[in-house]
Amino acid sequence: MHLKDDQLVDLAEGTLPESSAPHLASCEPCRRQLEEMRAALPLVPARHPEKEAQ
Amino acid sequence: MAPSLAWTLSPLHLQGAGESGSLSPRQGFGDSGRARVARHELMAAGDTPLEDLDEKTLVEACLANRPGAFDLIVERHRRSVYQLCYRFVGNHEDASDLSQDVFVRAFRGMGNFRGQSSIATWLYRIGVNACLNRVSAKTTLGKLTEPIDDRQFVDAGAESAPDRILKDERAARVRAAIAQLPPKQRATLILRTYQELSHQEIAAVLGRSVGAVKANFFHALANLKKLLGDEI
Repeated sequence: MHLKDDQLVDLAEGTLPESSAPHLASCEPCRRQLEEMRAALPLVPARHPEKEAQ
Repeated sequence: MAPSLAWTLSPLHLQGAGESGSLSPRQGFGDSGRARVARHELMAAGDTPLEDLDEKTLVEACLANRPGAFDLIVERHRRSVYQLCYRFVGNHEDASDLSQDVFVRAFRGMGNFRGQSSIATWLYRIGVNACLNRVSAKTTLGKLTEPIDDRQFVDAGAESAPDRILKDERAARVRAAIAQLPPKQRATLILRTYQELSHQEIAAVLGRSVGAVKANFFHALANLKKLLGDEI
């Protein structure tokens, strides 16, 4: 059974260790989704206009 | 030049704010110094200073027309509310206007605040609704793809001009892509990445389950990547 969206989010954000999802080792689609998600996370850098203005 | 962030609500914004009868317009924050002044007017004989009140009591103080109570809420939350609005609309003028609107709505609806969430969460909820209404009513994509004057918010000495231009262009493309996301995905992405709220907090703001928020976030990122392709 493939990983759920929320599990992939937790894995991508590092709140779940990969060791908690042994399914990853044997599932190429889930690994690919996780990699894509990790690649997408830095696309939206946190920027705080007011903080940066100071 | 960076815009002034010391905005206040104009009398026009507060028109009708006392219609419910529970609040008086006096409780508004009509001039820029009033919030600051109000903090020093807190010691009504024997009363606890507003700043020492917990959130629930502060709300009760607002409802009891205690001078300065709502000003204090505004002062504590205006930055984060402004930032939220800025992330939705992508320009300072609309963000400032929207964030004032959020506080007007909060002022009018204070009697509906039940204390089941924090004031911040409640204000974010009002803010997300206001922002989604605004962006759906007004297609701001063109505006969002304009090079927003982010340049004023970066340390100019830290990077070269070409680097800065590239960074600005990249940020503008990301903003334009975010603007194309479905509303809930957009809200989730903004709250998570820019406002740095936890999934639990986002769930409280959006009134959804944590699982649904994570699923939204997952799809938002996937769509964002699809929209941006190899551009970034």
